[in-house]
Amino acid sequence: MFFDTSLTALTLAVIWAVFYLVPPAQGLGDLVRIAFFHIPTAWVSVLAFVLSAWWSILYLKTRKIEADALSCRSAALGLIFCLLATISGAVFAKLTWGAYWNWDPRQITIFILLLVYGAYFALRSAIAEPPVRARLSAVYALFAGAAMPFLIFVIPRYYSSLHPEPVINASGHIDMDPVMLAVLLAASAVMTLIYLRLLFRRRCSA
Amino acid sequence: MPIRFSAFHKTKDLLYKELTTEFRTRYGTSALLMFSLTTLSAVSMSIGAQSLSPDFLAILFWIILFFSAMAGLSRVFLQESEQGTLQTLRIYASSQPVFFGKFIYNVLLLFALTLFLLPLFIVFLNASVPHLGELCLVLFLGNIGLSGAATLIASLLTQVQGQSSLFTILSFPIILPLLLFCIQLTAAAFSSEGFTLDNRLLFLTGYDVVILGLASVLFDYIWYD
Repeated sequence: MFFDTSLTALTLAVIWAVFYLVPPAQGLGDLVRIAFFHIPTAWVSVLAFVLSAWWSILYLKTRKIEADALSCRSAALGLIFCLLATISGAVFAKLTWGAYWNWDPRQITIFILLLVYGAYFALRSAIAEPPVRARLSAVYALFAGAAMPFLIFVIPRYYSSLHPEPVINASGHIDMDPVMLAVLLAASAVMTLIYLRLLFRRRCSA
Repeated sequence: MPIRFSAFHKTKDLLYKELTTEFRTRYGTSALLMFSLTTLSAVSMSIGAQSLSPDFLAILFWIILFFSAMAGLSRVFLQESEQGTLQTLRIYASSQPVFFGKFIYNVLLLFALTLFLLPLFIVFLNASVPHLGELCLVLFLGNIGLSGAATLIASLLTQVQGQSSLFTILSFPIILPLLLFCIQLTAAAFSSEGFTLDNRLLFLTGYDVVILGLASVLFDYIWYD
């Protein structure tokens, strides 16, 4: 209960900071505020998928059904955060580049992530027995995970991108206003806490 | 047939068994080839006499090849579960010979499909191939990756209801990186400009190695309950 109250307060504080503390960015103006939602959701979806893969490995090693439940729930949360990141990214793209969707490398990658986890839940829904479902979906999630490095590191090299450079870019230093960076880190931390809160909620119907 | 115990011999025997059962009915091959012929003629007729750029040719070629492969490659495990021979196979061989036997059979099936499709594609769509050797290399690498992923997904679906509709859904996101690379490289082979052996071929090979290695490891978890 205490955790919930403080998380709500923290979330409200971050929302306030995003709208009143962060200065408008050069060239982007107020649109930059979308990034404080977009980057944390994208980060949390990656975290959720990595943890889901980790629990899949754990299930295959130990055959404990709890590991599968966590893996499934993490994948579901990852899918939701991934959708939020896609939508906020598309809105940002419309306002800055002029189109919601143009198959930018980032959009290819995130779209395939959505496809993979859509297929993952289609597979889960097709199997009735829990142990078989856990085993086969873990195998599929790990197999799909193997294709991810190719998507994330290789495809962007061969398609030109309009996506802004990641915060931690190739040149190794961070070009960002210190206030912005602090708020971004706080927003990411809050989003991660929201994810963990949803992941370990008491009752689950997955 | 005498039972031989080394993994190599078992793989060979399994491949031989696949080829024999296929030769008896010829259902798999004929369905695969007719599917690709149907798709090719649908594409070719609707395009008519227009000449297409190398990019479009490569895209059409791989879309036909991908969906034909999806229509045919799931059979290796599907027919075992349909005919109730899965248990016998489990008793006969351990996981790796089964996986590689089925994988090599799928590769051969895809090579046959490609050999059938490519000349017809060139004739019907009036394509010119200035870099035939490079094209064959790309097709070779692409077919290996495609078969590796398809074999694992097909084995995954032996214990699932409504297998055939799930097969394409599950395979597509995994094969997509391969498909994008193959399309780019095939477009380069179709165009009259010089074909430089670049990093993309290396990535394609890397993808094949990763997919095959991981499929071989993960197959153990599917094969043994």
